[in-house]
Amino acid sequence: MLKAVCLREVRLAARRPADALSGLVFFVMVGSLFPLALGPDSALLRQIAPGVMWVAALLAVLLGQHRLFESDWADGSLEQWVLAQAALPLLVGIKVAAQWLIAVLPLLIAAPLLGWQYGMDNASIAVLLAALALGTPSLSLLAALGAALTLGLRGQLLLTLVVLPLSIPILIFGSHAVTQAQLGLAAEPALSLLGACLCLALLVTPWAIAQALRLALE
Amino acid sequence: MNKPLTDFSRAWRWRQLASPPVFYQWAGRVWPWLAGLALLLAAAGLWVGFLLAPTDSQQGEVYRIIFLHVPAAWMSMFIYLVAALHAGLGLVYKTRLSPLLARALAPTGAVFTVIALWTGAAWGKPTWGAWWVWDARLTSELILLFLYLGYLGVVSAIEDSQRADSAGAIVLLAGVVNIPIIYFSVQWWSTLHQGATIRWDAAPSMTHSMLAGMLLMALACWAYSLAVALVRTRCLILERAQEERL
Amino acid sequence: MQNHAFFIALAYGLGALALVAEMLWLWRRSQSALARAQEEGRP
Repeated sequence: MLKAVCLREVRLAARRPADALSGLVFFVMVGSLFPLALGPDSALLRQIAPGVMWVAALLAVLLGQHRLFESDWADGSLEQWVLAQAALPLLVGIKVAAQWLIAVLPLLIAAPLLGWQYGMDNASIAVLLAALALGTPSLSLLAALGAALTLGLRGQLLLTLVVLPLSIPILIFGSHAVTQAQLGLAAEPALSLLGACLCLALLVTPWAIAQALRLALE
Repeated sequence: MNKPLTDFSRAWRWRQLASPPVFYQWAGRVWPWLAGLALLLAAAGLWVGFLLAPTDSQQGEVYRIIFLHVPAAWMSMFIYLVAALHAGLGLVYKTRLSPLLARALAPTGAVFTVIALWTGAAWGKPTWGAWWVWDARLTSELILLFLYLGYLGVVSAIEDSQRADSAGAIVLLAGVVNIPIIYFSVQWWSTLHQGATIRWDAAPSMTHSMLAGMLLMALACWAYSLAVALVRTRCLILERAQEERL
Repeated sequence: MQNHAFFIALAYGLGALALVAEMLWLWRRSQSALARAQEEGRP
């Protein structure tokens, strides 16, 4: 059954290219807005690059996330999942993974382009990619938790309000890693912290999401 | 509320308090005492803080903000942990009163967080020259405020009370996981930002009167929080009972 | 030293305001909850 769910999720996510693309477009647009607004001072841009990248990535992940479970809820497949033999946290994990592959992985492809736009050197961009690769799955999991908690409620604001404080440590560590790389210092400690956050997120959030979904269905 | 409380006249049975009607009566008797205690302790604390404690050699008089700032910050953290504990108990054991206690504590926790941030800013301006710095401590407090607001937003937005209680519990508990991570980042940020601020509580050379003032104010804040939480829980019990009747 | 009094007043002023506001809000809430409970007690 798990393989079927995997395929279904990937196919579903791919069938809505608008969602995937909107995240990517948003990321690139927000990233491009700052140089336009702040002027082309290259030293300033290089300095703000890590922060801007991470905020843009966070917002891109949050965008449209509240609809993650909505269609499944509407057509009844969510209830099927809750009743299924396979563990709900596992199914949830697969869904979020598929979502990440389709909607968030493109960000990692766009990130170097933005990085060059900000005048970052290649070593920093490499660290940025590593940090995003470690951090965005955690962000996706947190966003999915927010989506499950606010399932059926109107408006995206509540989801954002709930998810934002929880994602701040990832923002801090991720941005810190890139800043360290820019200064020529070791980025490993920050990256391993991101890895630790990811481990924690993988352990805790699928279970929490499952609980929230069961709540929403009661 | 009109149920006969046959067991209540016997010796304290704390488990009885898990029943909303019993708790309602008990809280109604206890909260005025706590409020009075809070007033007394606050009066004592402010008297010690402003009249007994000496002027600081470096900061002058303005350090006296500490007598509100530090207790408020302590309470903001402590209340969050207690609320999360009760929310967790309610989630796991499905007790009726626990989610109400969490809901009752959260607003006071948020208020203390705001007070901690504001008094910190008022202290920072004359001493650091800035109303706000992105110091790890301040940022942690700000994040804590967002956590409170997120919880309050979730419980008020969901109409079904059971779902709101449990969803809120999940949010609160997720934030607890966050807090040690935030405080770990304190070490990271202090390496990033040189010239860390001079910390009052780090220095062991605090005179006894200053410490006494702080502790008295901390106890006052604790008594106040408890009194307010008890009253708010009573309101919630009434409101919840009305909902169940509808 | 003079303007230290200003900052102390600023800090404690808002602190007191916030706590009083909370108490007032709570008082209003308990009044309306009691009023509604009494209404329902009658019929």
